[in-house]
Amino acid sequence: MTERLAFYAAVLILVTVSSSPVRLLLEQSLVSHLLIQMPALVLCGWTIARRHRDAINRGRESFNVGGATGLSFALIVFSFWMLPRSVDGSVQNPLYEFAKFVTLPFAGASLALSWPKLPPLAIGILKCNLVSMMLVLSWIYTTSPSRLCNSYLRDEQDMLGQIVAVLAIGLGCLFGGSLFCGTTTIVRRKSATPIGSGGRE
Amino acid sequence: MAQANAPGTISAPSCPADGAVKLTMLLTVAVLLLMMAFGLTMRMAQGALIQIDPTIFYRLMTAHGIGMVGIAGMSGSAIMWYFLSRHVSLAGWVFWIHLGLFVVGVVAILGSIFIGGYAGAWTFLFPLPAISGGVWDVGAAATYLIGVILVGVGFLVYLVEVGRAVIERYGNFANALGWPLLFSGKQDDVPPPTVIAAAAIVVFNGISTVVGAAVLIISLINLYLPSFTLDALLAKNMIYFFGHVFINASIYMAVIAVYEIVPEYTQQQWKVSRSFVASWNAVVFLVMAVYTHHLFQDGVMPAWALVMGQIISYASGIPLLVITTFSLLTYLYRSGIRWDLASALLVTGIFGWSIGAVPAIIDGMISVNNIMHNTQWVPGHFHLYLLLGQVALTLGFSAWLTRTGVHASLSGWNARGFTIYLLGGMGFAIVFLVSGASSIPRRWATHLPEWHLQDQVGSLFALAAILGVGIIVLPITKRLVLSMRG
Repeated sequence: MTERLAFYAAVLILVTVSSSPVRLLLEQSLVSHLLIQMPALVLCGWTIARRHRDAINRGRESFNVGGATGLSFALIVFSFWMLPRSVDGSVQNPLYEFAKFVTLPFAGASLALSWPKLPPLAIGILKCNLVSMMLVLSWIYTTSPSRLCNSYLRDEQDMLGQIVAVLAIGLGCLFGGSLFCGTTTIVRRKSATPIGSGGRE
Repeated sequence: MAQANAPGTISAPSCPADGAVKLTMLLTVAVLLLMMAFGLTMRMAQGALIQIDPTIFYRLMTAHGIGMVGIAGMSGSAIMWYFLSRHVSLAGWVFWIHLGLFVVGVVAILGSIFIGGYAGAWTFLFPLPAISGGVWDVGAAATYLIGVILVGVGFLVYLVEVGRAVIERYGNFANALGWPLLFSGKQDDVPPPTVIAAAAIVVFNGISTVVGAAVLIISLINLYLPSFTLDALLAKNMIYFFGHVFINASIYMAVIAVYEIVPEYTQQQWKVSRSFVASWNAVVFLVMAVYTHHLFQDGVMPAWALVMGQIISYASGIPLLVITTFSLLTYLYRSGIRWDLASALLVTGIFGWSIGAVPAIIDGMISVNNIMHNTQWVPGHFHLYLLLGQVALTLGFSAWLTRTGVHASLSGWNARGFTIYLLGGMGFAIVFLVSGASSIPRRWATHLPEWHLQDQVGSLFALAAILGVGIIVLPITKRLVLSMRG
């Protein structure tokens, strides 16, 4: 029931953020463009794909073994849209704009299909890398001697950098805190060998 | 997969990536001797016993620093891996990746120093890598930073796997750190000391590695895009947070050898008490909060941060060090222990760790630090801590790992090597402390004639320490090679 509601909410949000008034409103500011619109597109793709995960995966298991294919696709898409040149292009060039509204939901979808298949080690490293690189990104936005995106003002760039730093620390606390309470996804693996029985080579 | 034992070694329970652990110890022995030789060369140059170009001195100093920090971390991680695999299920291939990234990183670092000429000290303090005054070029500094990043990535992979395995077995870190026992006095599944230590180390070393990765990438970008600058004070905070936590973690990881090996000698299991759990949990916070005692010379630091650094310097040594040392003495007392090389080295390691903390606590006072910080007092502290602490623990573990079936008492060449190492190491560190108390500066390639006597005496003790370690590691190396071939 919850998943169904989330699915319809995701479709609604996807339509809303794609509609001209909301799209233009969000793209007016660098902060809302990068921290609201783009994550919303990814999240919608994730939620929609999760609802139909079994149907999509059926018969295609060999295509995304261990989640490697989907993760690679998602990372390439995210890397592309992290570039200031791409962000500029998406507000100046309709083709870029169209590509953004197609690729980011697809990246979210492929991440949703791949995440449960990823080994716990990969998930842990991805989380650590995300926090670390968000700190670097925050530094780049705040210390750049010039505007990185021609379409946006310098003070918005500074604000974005500061918010990303706060988000990085928040995410670090969230990831770290989840390890201290309850069980996490990392636990979903075959049980440990009994104490004293050694391990495996 | 269990490995056959080489002739002359006894059957020890195998661990995942047993071969990688042994290879790491072999690598450790080689790197330790090389770094000690670098150290001796520097002391002899300061004492005017040999002449080397100051540029070469600073290259050696950089290699010595990063080499010792790196190998201490690597050997500590091997010790923790070996014993943790007794309690949780670890994937062996992860340690091979960890070791592989370490080796590739070390090759890059050595290349940057001895081919590229990088000599900006192991701490790569911003903006020094980018401002060499023509001594090295950007490529050398970048190669150095990339090398350190590779080593860091290897550690991150290692720590995530350790964390995964601990959570898989104990559900979450709260259980693995013994929180139910700590807060309610009882726990159904009390984790052994090794698991508690590993969980604590994953928490603080994981955080420090993430911070270190960020500042390394930032420094790398700054090399090629100098207009992207970083606040130098922030960079120093990030680097010292990473460096302080990392080097301390290397000792904490090695201490696990004492928890696991000493009970074999005393026939008494190392008990997990509430105070033991409390001390490890305190360390999680203290080891991260105390790093500001490296920044007392930075008057622009907020006063509260420096005061915190001083107060926590007093406190940080107490919980774990006192509990571990006191417990060790209690277990040893009337245990009828039969001393051999391994047990002697392990106890020496705790001794070196304990006394090494004392000059650090003294230097952790702002008023003292203002006078002593840039003197040889500081290398005196960390040589006690490492040469007689971490290194002794590592050698003790290696001796135990390659022990022969027949109980060998501490006699013959083992005893001679151990005694020479102990006297050499103590003398070497004490000369540093005395020199520091005489205000002889550290990190100077050329010394005034008035300081030469201390440098020459220090060189003599350094030679003794190298000789002692050489005697100790010769049979260990032979047995490690045989064991790996077997």
